Amino acid sequence: MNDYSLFLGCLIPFRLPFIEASSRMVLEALGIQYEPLEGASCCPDPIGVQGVSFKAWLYLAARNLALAEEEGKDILTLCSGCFETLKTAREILLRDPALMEEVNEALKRIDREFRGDIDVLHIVEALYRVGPRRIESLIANPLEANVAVHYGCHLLRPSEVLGFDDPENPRKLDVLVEALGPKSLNYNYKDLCCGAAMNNIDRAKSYPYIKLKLESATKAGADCMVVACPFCFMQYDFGQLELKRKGYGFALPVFYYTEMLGLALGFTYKELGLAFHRTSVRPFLEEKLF
Amino acid sequence: MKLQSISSFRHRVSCFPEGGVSLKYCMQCSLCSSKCPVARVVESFNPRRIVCDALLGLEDEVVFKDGVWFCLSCHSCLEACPMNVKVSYLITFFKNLAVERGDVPEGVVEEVKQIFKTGRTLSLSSAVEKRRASLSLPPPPSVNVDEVRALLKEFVNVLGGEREG
Repeated sequence: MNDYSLFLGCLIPFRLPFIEASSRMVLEALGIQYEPLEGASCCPDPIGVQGVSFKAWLYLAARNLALAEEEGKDILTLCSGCFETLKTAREILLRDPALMEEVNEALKRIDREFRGDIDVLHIVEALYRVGPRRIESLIANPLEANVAVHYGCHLLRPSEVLGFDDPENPRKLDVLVEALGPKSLNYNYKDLCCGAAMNNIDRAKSYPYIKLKLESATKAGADCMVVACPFCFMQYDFGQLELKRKGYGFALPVFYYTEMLGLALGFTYKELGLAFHRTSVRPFLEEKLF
Repeated sequence: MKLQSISSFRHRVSCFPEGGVSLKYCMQCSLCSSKCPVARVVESFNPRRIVCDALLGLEDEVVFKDGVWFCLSCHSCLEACPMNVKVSYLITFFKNLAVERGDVPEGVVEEVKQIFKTGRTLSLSSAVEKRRASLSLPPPPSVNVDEVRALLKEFVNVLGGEREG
């Protein structure tokens, strides 16, 4: 199936619309059909909302899944949080008939039903299915750069349910990055969580995660980072600005994967809205692309 | 008396749908703590210890103020566990218990309130609206908030409803 319900979530359309723009552009360029899912709520957040009430989290996720089932299309997410929530909620319900019945009893109140007959994909998976070789054959601007790829947590784990890649040694995003020309680096703390979920609890405690990651990527010789989740993106892009105020001078551009893919396909800095990044990508692009 | 309370707490844990029954498989090897990114940063946070306290039925220790909320649900512990204990989901359940006691970080309460109000965690600022227009993006899809509220009506109290102004 190459026709998706695009699940935009909260953070991308309301804070980081340039990630939405680049994602739409590359999907269209690759001939992948999609329609934004109308009526969907927050996925909801697999950390905060699930922590407050597992059941409320499950009910709301089931409603979003039911909306996509009515469209009859697999869900495509841009955010790893949305991916984890929707994929795990689906699996939890399918494995537990009593729970599914309870949830469907509640969904009846709003004339909806969860059946579990559509799947949930992250955009990186959808692009991987297009194939790194095919993507490579389409690129107009090959990039020469050393990239620190960051997978984040919710794209990979729990791996038994998400089934995206080997959780210990994932490769898909590295392969997709290398298809555009760059070299994906091995670096310490490659698997370290971005710490974004700490922001709701204690913002200062999330700085060490950002600092460790940026230090280690810089030390390994990275020219930029590539991420697959808007929360990881915000941590490293906006987080650098905050760390600068604390006296740590990092200057590592951060790209969401579809932005780098967009550049490679020939879309411009302006079209991709890269000026909206808080850590400038200009010097990097002037050196590597222009 | 003591034993009875241990078994009743463990029974409650075992009823949690996602991994509740896995608690009893823990053999305290500590791989969860060694893989935990939070334990690197927050000295007081130790998933093995949380599971140990749960095994001993020490509900007050398990659900101590703010402790469980440091868990980021990154599932590194679940992935590392050789006994298939779903540590991260157990901690989710302990967070749910903390909520019943009124122990919820303000940031989390705000997030949930916002979902009740708008269906989403964030709303559209005029600055972002302009950015969307400059990127030729259509308005974001709408949410039927009444539907969200109707679906979640039995959770209003749990979800920070008591703090509604």
